[in-house]
Amino acid sequence: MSVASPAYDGGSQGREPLLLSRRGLASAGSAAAVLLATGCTGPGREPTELPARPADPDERLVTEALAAERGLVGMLEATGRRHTGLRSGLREPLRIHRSHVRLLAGASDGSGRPDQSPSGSGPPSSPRVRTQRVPAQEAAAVAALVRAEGRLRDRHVETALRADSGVLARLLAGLAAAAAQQEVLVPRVGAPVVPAADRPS
Amino acid sequence: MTPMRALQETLAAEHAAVYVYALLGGRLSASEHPGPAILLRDAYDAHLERRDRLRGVIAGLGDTPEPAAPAYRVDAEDRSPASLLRIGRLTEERCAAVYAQLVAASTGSRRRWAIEALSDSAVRALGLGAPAAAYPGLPEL
Repeated sequence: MSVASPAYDGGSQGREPLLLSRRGLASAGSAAAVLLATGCTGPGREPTELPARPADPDERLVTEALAAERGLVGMLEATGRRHTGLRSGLREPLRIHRSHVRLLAGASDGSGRPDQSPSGSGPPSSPRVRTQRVPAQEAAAVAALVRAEGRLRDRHVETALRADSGVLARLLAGLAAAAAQQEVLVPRVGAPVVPAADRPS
Repeated sequence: MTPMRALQETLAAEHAAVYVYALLGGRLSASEHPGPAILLRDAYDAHLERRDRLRGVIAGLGDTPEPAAPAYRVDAEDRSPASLLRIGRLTEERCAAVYAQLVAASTGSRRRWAIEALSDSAVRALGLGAPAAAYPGLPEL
């Protein structure tokens, strides 16, 4: 199946220079250079014009985005510890936000290596959220996670708006969209599974 | 990519989306499948609004909005809701990618609008049955 037209390829890969990739982060000498050099263009400029080192303001934005993602990973982990029945449902949002942490950590430390900690959020870079801070009621804990996803989305949006780098803004917009998806999906965590035949068509 | 090029490519994607959703809606019996029909109708309305807005923005900047193609090829396997919603998901993924591109090529309120459109496509894709993505709109990741 395909959707195509003579004039439309849907912005598929190859139309834009896409220099940001996990493989690139792992293999390039400086992940920050990969992540941010492409983004220091500003609108309408080509990444090839960019300096090897990113501008300081955008480095700070990556650090801020990383801290925000780590905060949410810590909250998801703490919620799973306090409410073991939610663990399986939290696996997917954890996978997604840990991936964000690894990507941003590899960029922000300039090592060119994504964060290698198993969770992408482990010490010393990420505080462990105390389980006492997680609401005792499961439904309240889920609601707190939904609010946290919303805050994270808003924060990524605001950070993207501050970015000099077009490519960094693009990345942060993607992270915001991922959080927006989780805002929709997390409320279903722990909800009873409805057989497909019973779902409204 | 220049900001205008990004706007024109986003408009091209929205032209295609409007066409696709109109076609998908026409292939689905709303009385037999009211849920999917509402999803497709909502998507059509959203993309129509964004297409018209893009036209206005481009014209306001003194350029000529690129017209829609005469037709778009849509290869649906059948008329089942699953098949039609799958095409809808693909359409949203493509729109998300072009809006991400527009984010990179814009600033200020236009960048904010592009971010909102990207998130809307990502969330709409969920409603159409797509799984959660770690990097909506960023197919290289």
